[in-house]
Amino acid sequence: MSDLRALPLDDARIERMLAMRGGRGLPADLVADILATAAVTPQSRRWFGTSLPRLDRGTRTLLVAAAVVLAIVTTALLVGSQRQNVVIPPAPPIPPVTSPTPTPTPSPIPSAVASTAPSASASLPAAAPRDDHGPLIVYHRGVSAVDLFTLDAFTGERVGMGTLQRGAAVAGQHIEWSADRRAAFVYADTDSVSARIDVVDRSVAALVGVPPTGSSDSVSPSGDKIARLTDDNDLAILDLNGDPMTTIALPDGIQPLLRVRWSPDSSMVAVSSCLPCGDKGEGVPWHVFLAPIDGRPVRQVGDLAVEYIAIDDWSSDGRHLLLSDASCPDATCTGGLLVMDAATGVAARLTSTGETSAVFSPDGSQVAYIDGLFGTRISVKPTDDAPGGGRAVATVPDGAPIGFDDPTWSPNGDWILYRQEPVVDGQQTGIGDLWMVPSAGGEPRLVIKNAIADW
Amino acid sequence: MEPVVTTSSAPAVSADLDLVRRAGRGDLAAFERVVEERAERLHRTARAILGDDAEAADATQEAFVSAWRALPRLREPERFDAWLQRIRINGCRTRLRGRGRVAHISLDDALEQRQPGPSVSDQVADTDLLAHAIERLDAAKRSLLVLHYLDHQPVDAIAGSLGIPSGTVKSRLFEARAALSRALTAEGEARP
Repeated sequence: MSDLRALPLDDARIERMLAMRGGRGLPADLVADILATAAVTPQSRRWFGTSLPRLDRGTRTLLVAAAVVLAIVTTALLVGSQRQNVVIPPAPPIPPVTSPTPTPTPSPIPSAVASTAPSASASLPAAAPRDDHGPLIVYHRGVSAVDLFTLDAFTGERVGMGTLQRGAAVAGQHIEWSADRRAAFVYADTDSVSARIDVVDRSVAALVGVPPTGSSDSVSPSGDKIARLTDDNDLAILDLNGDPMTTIALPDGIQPLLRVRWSPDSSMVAVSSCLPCGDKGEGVPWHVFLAPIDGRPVRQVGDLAVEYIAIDDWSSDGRHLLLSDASCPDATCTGGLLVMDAATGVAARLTSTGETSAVFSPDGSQVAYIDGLFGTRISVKPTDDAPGGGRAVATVPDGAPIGFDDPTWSPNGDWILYRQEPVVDGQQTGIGDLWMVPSAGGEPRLVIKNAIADW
Repeated sequence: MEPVVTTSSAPAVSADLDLVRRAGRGDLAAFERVVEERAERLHRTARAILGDDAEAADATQEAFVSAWRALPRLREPERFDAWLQRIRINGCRTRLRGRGRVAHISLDDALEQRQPGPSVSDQVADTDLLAHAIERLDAAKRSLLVLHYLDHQPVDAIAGSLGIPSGTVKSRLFEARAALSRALTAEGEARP
């Protein structure tokens, strides 16, 4: 084994490998080329960025004074006029969401220890799997605008919800339904939740009261609360107007970095973190913590002693967490998917070859996930299966430079929706196309191009 | 190994600041000194991001020429390096968006290319694996990996120069590391 192989995946190894990729030295004549180009490139002048000849001081002073007067007059004329770039109105205060109480579905996952539901005082119990397919909620990036609509994946019927102008602050990277499917939420590139779609009223409102932040937001399934990690590494619970509802103190020393996950009944938040941690949020081991929002103590669940844990999903009955983990203690890296009992912390290994982006089926009996060396397979596996590979339902053709992401089950569990980055004449385009494939296996079909969606 | 901590505005010395100010007033000789101080570092990180010599050279040249053009409008010369970094990173991202991915190598192909035993072959395979893992990352994560692990920039400096929150930098850095880890894990499956 080489020295490089013998190292764990630590800073030194990453730096060394990037340095090899970066190479040494400059191409010959690069500096000369830069200067030659600069010599014939006019610099922008300080007055409005236009190219002007150099003027004497007196003339410059007169021009600057004239510009200041013009700016004052122009500003006075523009005061009170509508902003041209307002594309959606600020959201009025969001009233509390109320919904009927569906009956939780018992989990089919066998457990060695009897487990209990996360909370007896649920504000919104887990939604039962639907019998019908249900529509997708779609964020579609068009040529000049973003369209938001529901889409029947089989008939193609669309119901418009609203339009966002391209370049608006609500650039989307994620969209998801609330549990009652009366609303959906758009998450921006900054990982902040940025807009709420009211599916009943067919309207879209920017959550202007919710400030963007470096922490990943997570909207509760009940659709009325936002969980966000604070700069002090605590957990803030906000309402949709951005007003704080409560702040939950997390254990000293943790540095949660990844997206937190609400329980299906919106009563608690799962957080993963190292403890103890280094200054970059690294360290071993990582743990899962459950933080009830009603003031009950935060508790660590299980003791996995791994280097990295992402919380991929909760089962719809709230009894199990789906985790992806990774550890690189020596020359080899290990990790994959785990199913953890949320009450006891007992975890069962499901896969062990780097699988990720896993989601429970609506009834909790199966898991869909991304595997393959570079995300080139969508696979399905029963949650009570022995550790090992699953059944591939979608595979990237050999040699095709594309990959899969974001597997999502249909409400009745018959289909899996996923995103595929398209290739047209070898060029990467858009934000990916959405495809769907029968969860039992079959021919994938294209749903819509240049879109993200939830089902 | 602890990375050397530098700030995005280094070298923050008065002589360099004077060069930047003079370059902003059209002094090409001063700009030449500014370029010579930074060209190798910029090119190295561009190459680490783009994975291609020619594209890295073009991206580096474009960044410096853009900086020359807009330099008179930079109100805080002390921010020159952070500003230049943002120009360069945006340029690399634009190039990454405009080209196709490196051709995917299937797991079987990767196995065929590896030689058993000798450390040099393992090094090549390891770097090749990393190269393909990096190609799978989006431009933002790729840039962050390079800025932090190759340029040794602390999180706050990266956040300041890219205009994004420190928390976002941290989470994306960790996601990028996790992506590399997954690639190595999958490769571990393929070993005899």
